[in-house]
This record gives sequence, C-alpha cells and structure tokens, in this order.
Amino acid sequence: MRAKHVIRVLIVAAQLLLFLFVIERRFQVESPAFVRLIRLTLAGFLVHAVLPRRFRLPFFLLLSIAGIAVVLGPKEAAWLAAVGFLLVGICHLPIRMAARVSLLVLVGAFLAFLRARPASAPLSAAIWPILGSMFMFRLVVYLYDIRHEQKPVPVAQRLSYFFLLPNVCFPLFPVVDYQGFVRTYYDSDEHRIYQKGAEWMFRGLVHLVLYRLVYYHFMIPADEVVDAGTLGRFLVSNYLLYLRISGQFHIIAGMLCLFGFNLPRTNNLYLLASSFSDYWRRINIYWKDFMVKVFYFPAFFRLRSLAATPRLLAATAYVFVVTWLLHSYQWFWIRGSFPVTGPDIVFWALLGFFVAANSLREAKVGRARALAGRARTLGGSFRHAARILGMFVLVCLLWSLWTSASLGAWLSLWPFGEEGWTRGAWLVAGLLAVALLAGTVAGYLSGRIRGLGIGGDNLAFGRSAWVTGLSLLLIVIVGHRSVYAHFGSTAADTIYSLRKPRLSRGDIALLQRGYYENLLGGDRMGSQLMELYMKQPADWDGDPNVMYVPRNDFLARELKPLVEFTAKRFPVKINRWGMQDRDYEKEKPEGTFRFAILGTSYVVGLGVPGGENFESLLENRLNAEMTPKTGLRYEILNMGVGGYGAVQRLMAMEEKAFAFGVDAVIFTVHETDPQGLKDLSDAARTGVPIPYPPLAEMVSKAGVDAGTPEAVAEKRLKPAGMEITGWIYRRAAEECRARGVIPFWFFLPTTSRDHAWSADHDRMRALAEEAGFEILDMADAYGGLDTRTLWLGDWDQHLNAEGHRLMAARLFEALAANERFASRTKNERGAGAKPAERGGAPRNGG
Amino acid sequence: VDEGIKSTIKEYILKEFLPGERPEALTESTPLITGGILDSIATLKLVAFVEERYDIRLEAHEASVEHMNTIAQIVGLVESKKR
Repeated sequence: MRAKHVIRVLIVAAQLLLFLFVIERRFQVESPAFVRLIRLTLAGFLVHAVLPRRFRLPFFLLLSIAGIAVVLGPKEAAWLAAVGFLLVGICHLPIRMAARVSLLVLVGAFLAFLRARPASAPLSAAIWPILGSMFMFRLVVYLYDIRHEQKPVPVAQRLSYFFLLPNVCFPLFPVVDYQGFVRTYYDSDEHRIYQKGAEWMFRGLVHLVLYRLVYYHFMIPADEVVDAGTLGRFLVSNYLLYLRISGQFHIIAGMLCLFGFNLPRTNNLYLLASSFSDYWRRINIYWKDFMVKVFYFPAFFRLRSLAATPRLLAATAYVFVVTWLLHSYQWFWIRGSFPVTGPDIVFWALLGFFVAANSLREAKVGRARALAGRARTLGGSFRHAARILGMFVLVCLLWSLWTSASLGAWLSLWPFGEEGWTRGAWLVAGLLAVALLAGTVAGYLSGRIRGLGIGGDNLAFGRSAWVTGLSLLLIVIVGHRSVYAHFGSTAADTIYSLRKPRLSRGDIALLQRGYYENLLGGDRMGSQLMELYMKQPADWDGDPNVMYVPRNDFLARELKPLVEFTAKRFPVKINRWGMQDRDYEKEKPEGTFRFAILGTSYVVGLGVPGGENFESLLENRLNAEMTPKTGLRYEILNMGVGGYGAVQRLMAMEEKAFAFGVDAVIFTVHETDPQGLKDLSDAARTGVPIPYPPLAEMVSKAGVDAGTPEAVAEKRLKPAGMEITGWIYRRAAEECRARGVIPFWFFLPTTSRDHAWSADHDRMRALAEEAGFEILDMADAYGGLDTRTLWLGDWDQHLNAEGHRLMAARLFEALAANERFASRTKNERGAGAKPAERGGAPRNGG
Repeated sequence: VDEGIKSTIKEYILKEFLPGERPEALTESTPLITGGILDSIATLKLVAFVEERYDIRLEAHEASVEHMNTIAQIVGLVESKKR
C-alpha cells in the first residue's frame, strides 16, 4: 500500500516536472515568478504527500506564506500575513456578529484609504492586489458561512482558505466557496485528487497557449475592423481572449488539488453554452456560486411576500447590479481606482436581463436534465448545435461591448458601408455553416459512441496520468526548435512566436499612447496590459500638471519652462525655453552649427540621467570629433514633447525651431505616424482649429468633425494616413528650404517587436525623399538585438541608457556620412565662421 | 429516513426535473446539486414545494450542497424542521 502511494505520488510529480519544464523551457505562459512558484509547489507537493495527515494543513499554510516570500519578498510576506491574521482574527472575536462585521468594515475602510494612496502607505505597493484578492470576497463568504458552521474546522485550514498558495501569482483569483473548501478536503481518493490537479494544470496550460495563439495571430485592433470579415474575426478572437482567465483558473484549482483540496471545476465548456442561463452556469462557476449563495438566495428568501415571477426577477436583477459593482470594487483593490463605464453598465444590464428571461422560462417550462448522457436524434442535435452557435454569436457581441473602453468605441466597430458589409460576409456565413454541421455531427455521435472522451473529471488515475503525461511530453518534444523546424516555415514561425510573452499589435499601440493607464474595458483585469501596468512603479510618469503647460491651440501642451521634477526614476530640469535640455541663448552664437530636433517622448528621453539621452550624447560627440575638423561648435536643441503627433511636430518646428536660427532640423518620425493621427482627430473633435487648411480639408473629407467619437475619428482618418504624411513632409521640407535650413528625416523605430511596418516605412521614406529631406534612417538600428534589452521596463518601451547610446552612435555615423551636412559645415567654416570658444566640452544636459 | 417524505421528494424531482428518467436511477444518495440536477432555479422550486408540502420554512443558507445535495439530506432537513 505504501509502495503504491509512493509510486502514484511520483507519477503525479513527474507530470508536474514536465509542466515545469514546459513553462520554463518551451512556452513561458506566465511570469518568471510563476516558474519559481511551481518549483516550490513541486517540492511542497512531494513533502506534503508523505506527511502524516495531521501535519498537512499546517504545512500547506506555511508553504503558502513561503510562496508569498518567494514571489514578493520576506518583508511583504510578513506584512501580508500580519494584516491577514488581523482580519481573520476579527472574524472570531467573542462579540456579536454585527459588531465583528462593523469592525471589519472599519479596518477595510482604513486599508482602502491606504490603497488609494499607495505612496503614503507603509506597505509595499505590490501587496495590495494580492491582499485584495485574498480577502476582498473571501471574507464575505467566510463570515456568511461561519454563522452556520456545524463542525469544528482546524485553524490551519481556516487560515489556508485565505493564504492559498497560487494566489500570489494570480491576483485575479476566483472566489472560492468556504464550505466547499472545507467539505471537499480529501473527500475522495487522494491520488485521484492529486492526479486531477496535474490534469487541470495541463488543461490550463493548453488554454494559455491557445490564448497566446489567438492574442498574437488572430486578434486585430478594433480600428482595423472595416468589413464583415474583419468584424467576425475581431468579435470571435476578442471573446476567445477569455481563454487566459479560464487557463489561469484551471491552473489555480489544479494546484490546490495537489494539496488535497478537491475543488470543483472553475469553468465548464463555456463555449458550448446553449442559453444565457447555461452560460451563467458554465463560465466562472465560482463567481456564480458566490453570487447565488450570498446574494441571490438570501434576496429570494427575503422576498417571500412577492409572487414567484417578480420575486425571481428582483433577485436576479439584484445579483447583476451587485456583480457590476463588485467588479469595480475588485478593480479598486487591484489598481486603486473605481471605474464606472457605460459599456460595463450596459453589459451587466443586458446579461442580467437575458439570464432573468431565461430563468423565468426555465422556472415555467423546465429544462432537459438527465442522470446520464442521452443520445439525441439528428434533428435534436441540429437544434442544439444551432442554439450553441446562436449563443456563441450573441456572447461574442456582448463581450465586444463589455471590453470596449466606451460605448462610442464599440459603435465605431460598425459604421462601414454596403460594400464593407458584403466583403467577407460569405466567409463568415461559410464558417458558421461548417460550425453548425460539425456541432450537429458531434452532438449526434457523442451520445452514441461510449468512451470517446479522453479527458474528464471521472477518468481513472492511470488513464488520466497517461493522457496528461504523454500530452505534456508531446509538448516538450514538439516545442523543441529542432522538431518544429520540420513543420514548414509558417507552422515553425507560429510555434516559435508562442514561446515568449509579448504584446499584440493593438496592445502595443495602446501602450505607446499611454492608454494602458486608463484601461476601461471589462476585460481589463485579465489583460496583459494590466499586468504590465501593475509592475509600473507609482508616479512613474511624473505629474503632468507639473511637467506641462496647456495651450488652447493645436499644440495642446508644451513643457513648462524652468520646472524641475522627477519622472521615470531620474530628476529632470526644463530650460527656460521649455526644452528638456541644457540652456541655450536664443541667438545662435557665432561659429556654431545649430540643429533643432523635433519629436516625441523618444526624443525627450526621460528615464536616463541628465545628459545621457541620445540627443545630448550626439551633441557631445559632434563637438568632440567634428569640431577639431570643422572648427564649428554644434548645438542640438531638444524640442521633443511627449505625445506630439506629426502635425504638432511640424507646427513646433515652424513656431519654435526657426526662431532659434537653426541651420538644420531633425524631424523625427516613427512607423506609427501614418496610423497615429490623434493630434488631428482630437483637434477636429474638440473644435480646435487645424492650422493647415489642406490638412483641415482632408480631415473634413474623412468625415471627422466636432462630436465624432474618438475611436470613429481615428478609424476614419486612417485611410488618409499616408496622404497626410506626404503633405506634412512636403510642407516641412519647403519651409526649411525657404530659410536655408537642412531638413533631416530621422526615422526612429519604436522598440516594439512588431516588424510588420516595413511597407509603411518604405512609403514614408519615399515620401520624405520626394519632399527633399536628407535621410537619417534608423530602421535597422535594433537589428539582431532583443529590443527588450533596450526598454526602460516591461511597462515602458522607451529607450534606456543603452538604447540612447546606440541611437546616438548610429545618428552620428549617419550625419558624418551625409554629404549635404559635410558640405554645409565646410562652407560655414569657409565663410569665416570662428571656432566656438566654449565648444567641445561635454555637457550635463537636462 | 422517513420513507414517505423520501418517496414524495423523489417523485417530485423525477416529475419536475428528470421527466422520462428511470426511477431506480435516482437513489437517496444521487448528488443533486453537484451532479447538475438542481441548479439555482430548480433548488428554489424544490424549496417552495417542500415548504408548502410540509408547512415548514427553510432558510437561505439551507438551500446549499450541505443540506440539499441528496434526497437523504433533504429528508433529514425536512424532518429536523418538523420536529
């Protein structure tokens, strides 16, 4: 018996080892912290499984707290444990329940006060999401259940309920039912429970890899929805992103099974829901159970005076209002703000309405149930498949609403003309027909052929171990480069892309625009952007009220002169002209060749010490290496402003750069420019005059005016992106020529690893050459490098010090090789320009 | 277990939630809630039936796996309320 126990534990451990190998060496589906936690889980599982039963709960509790220390650090673990013990202790004070609840509310309010001001709290900011996820809902369930508790529960089990091992890596932890947590502890064969854990973790892994496939390769940004085909693709892939949550929940519940907590499923084939009630019962089951137990049943029982129908409707409405509120409450503990958005309200209202209508029908007519699977007729299978498909389409629609930042953004998905509605429509209809046919056949066969299932909660230990272990082994083998390289370039590239975490194109765009700070879509909590944002230190970007002075015209804002602040870890000084730069005289000193560089946050260069951004490094190098040859001093005036669009850069050039008597303008552009016309769309929408009539006409022609929703405006402008870009280049080059200024087109690619922009780059470069720009093209600047090594952090993809050094070196080479620049500096010297008296000395910069 | 209560409840479950099912397939230990026979709506219907049939009053927390997951548990609950 003992030998059997050891063998079975080792079999489960072997599967965990394969799981660890996969997430570490093959598909890094979660963070490095998760890998550390799984290592600890594996070691803890082996010890736990051989301990006498009475030591297992205390061991699990200690292991869970050790897990917090491994991921967050010992100090944070001590804080979390202290606050947690205090909260659980209050639940058991020998006073009336109402007094205990009041005390908990008071302590909760104090913690919420600190949560809203993380910088002033003594606790590390990293603690809040974990503390919140451990206690924000579980305390409610716990208090509800201990009122009716009949059997004694060990203290270690009570505490373990809150400090659950996987929690530290998953702030979006499902609400676990306390009674269920106690009731299911070793409630069946222990090896079967362990094996279920390994199996569920494997299923979670599959969900997460599939999620990545959808996120990287199928999901398209909402502004790329232009016809029925792209709309269908967007709706489906947007809904399938939930695979990430279901994958995480599988892993969480699986990890708990490894320690004897035989928890039920967290999700149950939610893609196969055939009605709204069915959907509510299948997706995020723990949440549904929480709502039913703590809100729905108590409300229903209290409303005895009402007739059955209004009673059911009122209790259902109550549940959905509470669900909506609690989602914002959950977000508060994770991020510190309490969002209330239109799509959120409409989504929960609609879902509540449909579930209530379905519930009424089920209460009156009933629904088909069976003790064992029943075979359907072909007609019945067809009707069932049609219902599933219909639900899938409806949920995709609702989900797209929920995940939109605003109702306007959601509406912007739809307005495409008659041609757009027909384009791709046949493909969508064809796919739906194929799905219906496949669903009918599968439904018909599933009730007739026994033993078809290769997975399921009731598989015997041995069969489950074989299936799970071999599947993991297969992933290990197929995930090796030497194996998948034989699958053809497309498949190999796809598999390779799934190995590492990265952002999708749409999320990169949001990140670059700083939108991730205001994530409002209902999926915000499960999004990768949110995770990045959670890593970002408090006050990372600095206070915009200190940094900027607003303007009422097209420029919208500029850096505030003579202010000092800290942003992205380093102190920043703005000079008297509003430049993140050292001070310059307005009049160009004699014997000086003066540049102005126009650009965005990449040019401003926050996040590196003063004088170490590429502009300063380039200036130093020009003075150190060119001055001895030309006798000229070099100045580069940094006129970059974060968030400036291409038209704003043009306006800044005309208004500011020329006033400083510059000899050359470096006009910085990014690959995102033709698609990122926010400066134009914002101006048109808010009624700010666009200073260039031809551009104003293009905007008007695109159908963007005051009142056009933001998402709609940007989508309408997109097709005109290259035309607008061309106009900007021509205007900039002409203005420079008219003043004898050399215009440099400086292509500075963003550091996102999405290189789908090469076609845009080629067109932009051609437009710049046609306009008469000198070319400083850095398109290949990061060639061969992992651009992540050039980021300030995972949450901020701007250049770090190494990136600035690289860019300065490349720019210097490009300038040194530029004939027009060489000829001009030669002429300046030939014209008798005196060498600068102060030139050459390295500067400290901004 | 009171056989009268047991058979009444079993009959009700078979008639309301498992029409067409063989009576012998439903035993007093068949899991009703965890087995997917009683969802929240069905549980409330059963509660209403039991309250009316036996003139008792159940509490919200009793509409749970701990008290109503099997026919045996439901019979026990009814008996405890009638005492």
